[in-house]
Amino acid sequence: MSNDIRDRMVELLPRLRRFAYALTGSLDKADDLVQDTCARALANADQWQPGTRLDSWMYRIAQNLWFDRLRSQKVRGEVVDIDGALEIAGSDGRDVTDSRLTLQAVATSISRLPADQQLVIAHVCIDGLSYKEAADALGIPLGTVMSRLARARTALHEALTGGGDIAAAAAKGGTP
Amino acid sequence: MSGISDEMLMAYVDGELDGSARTAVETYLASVPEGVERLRVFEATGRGLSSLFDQPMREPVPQRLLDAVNAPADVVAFDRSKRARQRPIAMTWPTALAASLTILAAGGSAYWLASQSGSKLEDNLGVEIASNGDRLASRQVASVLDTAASGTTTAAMIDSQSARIKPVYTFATASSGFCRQFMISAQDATAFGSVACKSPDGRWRIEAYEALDPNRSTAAGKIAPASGTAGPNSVEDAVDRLIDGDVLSLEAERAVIERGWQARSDRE
Repeated sequence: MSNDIRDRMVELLPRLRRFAYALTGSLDKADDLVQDTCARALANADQWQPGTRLDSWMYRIAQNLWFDRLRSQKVRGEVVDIDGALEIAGSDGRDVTDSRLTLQAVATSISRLPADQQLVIAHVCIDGLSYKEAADALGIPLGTVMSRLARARTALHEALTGGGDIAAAAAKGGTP
Repeated sequence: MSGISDEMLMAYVDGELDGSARTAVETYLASVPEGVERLRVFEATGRGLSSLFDQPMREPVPQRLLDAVNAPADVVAFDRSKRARQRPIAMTWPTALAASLTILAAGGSAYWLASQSGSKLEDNLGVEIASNGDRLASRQVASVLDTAASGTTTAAMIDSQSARIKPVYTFATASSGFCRQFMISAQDATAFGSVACKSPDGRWRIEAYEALDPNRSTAAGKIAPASGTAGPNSVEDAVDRLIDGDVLSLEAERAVIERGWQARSDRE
């Protein structure tokens, strides 16, 4: 395995952490996910095709791990509640501001979305991918990205503004 | 104009629309008052959200993630692909040791053969023999196996010499128990690889134990077990014999540690 791939993985880490942060709602959990992602990527480095995008491949690993994780939480009946899991941005208290409250509200609301909607939000709104890139990353058609993303954002907006039932809002319009 | 879907409004906000579709949305927004209201939903939940989560973009990457990328040994040991299931050790073990021993070498210690002929298992570091003849992990080793995550190294005093104990990975057995592969190395660069399984009585039963001989590199970075210690009890064979499924992920392993190594009630 060349050092080249490692160097490029290191370059990807900040973005991958941000992506994982949006999914998990906590930097600690994000780092756990990223660490597992790197471990799996390196263990399967021979499956990566040089010449293809390393970032897409890493993100695919991360999102598969995230799906597995949500599934196993479900199987074990764990309640995902990240309200208390969010770190305080600065320990001196100065950062306990609106943006922190917003972060907490948004992270909580994202965590209550179905996993496929969490991912499309994380790819497009957090990581800044185009719809086309998100479709490639998720292996779904462009139209599905758009319908999923619109549903997710409508649900998110309702949860953030009216305390609506995000799960019901997210399901509105049926499954793709 | 009523033919503007949520998806189109959203795409407009995200700058994903080209000329004619864009014009259609703008016409709609100019003519239908509630259009702006609908638009707001997507403006409030757009790419601006990323700034909430951008702390990772502003701060240095934590060391543990850099380690995860740069330390092949442990990383490869966590392979839980199908390939790993077929042959969990063959590729991981020598690499894991190579890295570990390289660290020792960097300390300037001269290597010497770990377990030359005549050395009995009960003399070996971190192993004790129960009254019924079972080989068990000593108290210090057991305590590390009980609590430490794979890939972490813990220093301990064993038989009045300082040793380092490092779980390499954890796996489940067909009988719903758990085993761990670990390495133990002494100050003098003696190093052993072992597999221990958690017994219902809480002890760690040693299933395999072998000396690792850094002088017998089979290829660059590869380390073979010292002669005479491999065989039916080799670590590789023991893992092949015991493993059911894949090596546990760090997360699954942590869950198992947290619930005190109780047998699985379902598949992890």
